[in-house]
Amino acid sequence: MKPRSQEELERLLSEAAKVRGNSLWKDAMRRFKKNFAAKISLWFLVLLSLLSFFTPLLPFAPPARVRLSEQFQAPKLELIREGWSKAEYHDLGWLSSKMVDLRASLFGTKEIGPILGTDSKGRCLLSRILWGGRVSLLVGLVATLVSLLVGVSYGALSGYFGGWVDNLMMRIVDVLYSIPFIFLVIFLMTVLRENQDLLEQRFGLDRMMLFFAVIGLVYWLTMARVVRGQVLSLKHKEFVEAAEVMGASTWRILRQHLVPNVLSIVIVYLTLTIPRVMLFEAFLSFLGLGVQPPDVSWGILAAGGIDAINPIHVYWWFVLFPGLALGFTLVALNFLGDGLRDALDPKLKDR
Amino acid sequence: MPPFLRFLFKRFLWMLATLWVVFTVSFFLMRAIPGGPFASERNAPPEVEANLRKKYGIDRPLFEQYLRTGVMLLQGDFGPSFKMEDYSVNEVIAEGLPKSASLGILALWIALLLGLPAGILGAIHRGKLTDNLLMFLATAGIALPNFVIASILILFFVILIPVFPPGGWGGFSHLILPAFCLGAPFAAYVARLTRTGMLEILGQDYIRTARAKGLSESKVILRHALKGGLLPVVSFLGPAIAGILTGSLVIERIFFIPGLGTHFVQSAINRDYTLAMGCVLLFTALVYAMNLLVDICYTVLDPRVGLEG
Repeated sequence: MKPRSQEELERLLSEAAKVRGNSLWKDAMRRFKKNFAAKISLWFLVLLSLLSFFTPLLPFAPPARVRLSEQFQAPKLELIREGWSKAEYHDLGWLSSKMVDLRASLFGTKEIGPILGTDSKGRCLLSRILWGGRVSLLVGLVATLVSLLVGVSYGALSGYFGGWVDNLMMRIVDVLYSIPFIFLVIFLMTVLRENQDLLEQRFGLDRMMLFFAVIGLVYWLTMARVVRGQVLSLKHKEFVEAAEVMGASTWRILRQHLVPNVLSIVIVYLTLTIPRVMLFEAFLSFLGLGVQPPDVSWGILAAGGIDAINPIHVYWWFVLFPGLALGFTLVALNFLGDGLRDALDPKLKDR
Repeated sequence: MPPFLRFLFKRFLWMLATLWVVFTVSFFLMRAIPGGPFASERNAPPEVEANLRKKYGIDRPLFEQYLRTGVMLLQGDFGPSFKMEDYSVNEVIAEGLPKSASLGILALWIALLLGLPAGILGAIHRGKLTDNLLMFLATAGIALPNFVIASILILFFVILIPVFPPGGWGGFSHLILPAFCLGAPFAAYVARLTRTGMLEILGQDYIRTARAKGLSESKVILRHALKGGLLPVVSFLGPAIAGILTGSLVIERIFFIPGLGTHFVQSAINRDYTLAMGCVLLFTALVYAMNLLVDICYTVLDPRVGLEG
């Protein structure tokens, strides 16, 4: 190679500085933006989350308020009416209670009428769908985080240690995989319901937390397998060996070097696990084994809709709207998950 | 021992181990409840309760009960039902299983008959309108819970246009709607898997060879591509059967079908522990057996894969 002048080298250097490499995340963003369905889904979910979070602040009827005079009213356009009180809310948490107070000072006694109709006890369906969404989304999120925590640590440890530890840990996962958990969970929920008071007094576990834990503990298996595979392939990369040579502790290698590198695949599985967990919650609540009244979730609403089907009166709103809410959310979550997967790992496209 | 028998033997041992774990966990969960299964009988005199406890053998020490129940299960006897008097769990299962089985088998057929053509069409018309539409439907089918699909279909085809009977157990027409609702999500999965598998195969050299020697497109697809493209579907059948069993819990409740799923959910709600445990064990064994069957089919279809226990 011929020797280059100082100027030429400097020019090359400044040129190289101008060219920016595309990071994994930037590439992914670019690909994600091209995916129309995933983008729409993302916006829908963001809006839905905001709406659910701020539901207590907005002028909707109290979700558990029974008005026998308004049984099974078809949807009608009665936008604004008067008359609700804080006593009509049940079991408000600290935050929701404050939000309801704020609502009273913002909107006074005004509330939105039952524009989506009412149910068998005259409760406003719109408000029940929104409050139910709070529960369903929360279950989906928290239970998925539980499964994430268990699955990622289990998979990372198993993959990192390798050898007989890995073998044993994965054998355990195999055995657990072959157990049809849903049946065991139904069984478990029955037994736990029986001991509710005992558990609450002795361990301070309330029904919801128990529910989160049970669902989360079922859905970690796939996550553990995926993370283990990824860690196994990362373990022998040079940068990990370099860290080992420099004397980094096991914990530090896991946290600093391995976890960030499995993050993308974890995010993808996270978004795909949330709808599955929500589906499971709806399934259990539908059977009467999940969320219990007066709490409301989309599963409970769907069950109520089916129970109300009869050939004499067609309460279509009661079947359709909860189904649509659950359906749209789950479809959006699936599209988002697929879109993220295609964006973060284009090799997996069309799988 | 020939390798095939050894494989079967090994898997059988694994199944026994799994069943034993399930049995032990559910047994001790059941017995962990204070007061026992008859605590909810209102105002039962102590003598009556003592007699009941004696009849069902729960007055003995815990470990003895565990062993006795275990031995009984090994003999294929699930014991008497706690809540349905005069019925043994075996009788309830014998009555419910055929109904659930016919529902499940029909659902599986529907899943395959809808899913396979949709997947093949999607792969052939990749990226075109047909493909996009079918895959959109498939995503919706995977995402929507079967009870939402069921409630909307009931609204249309039972109430508005009464084509199908509303529910219950009777002729074939009673089965169509529930089986469709049960099979729809799996049709969606099958469609996706078929499409992926076909796309992979259609890019292979031997397909190009088949086209180059002038075979018609339908022959290329049906004769050459389909066999390889179906492999992912075959390996999905195991989980699909497990999922159909689960889904039938809800579907049987909606359509008032007195099958095993209904009995199981009822037993869980009524705290009929022996029946619940019998169902859990039966479901586990069924899923295990189906997975084994699928694994064997897989090796027959794809000789590159060996049988491993």
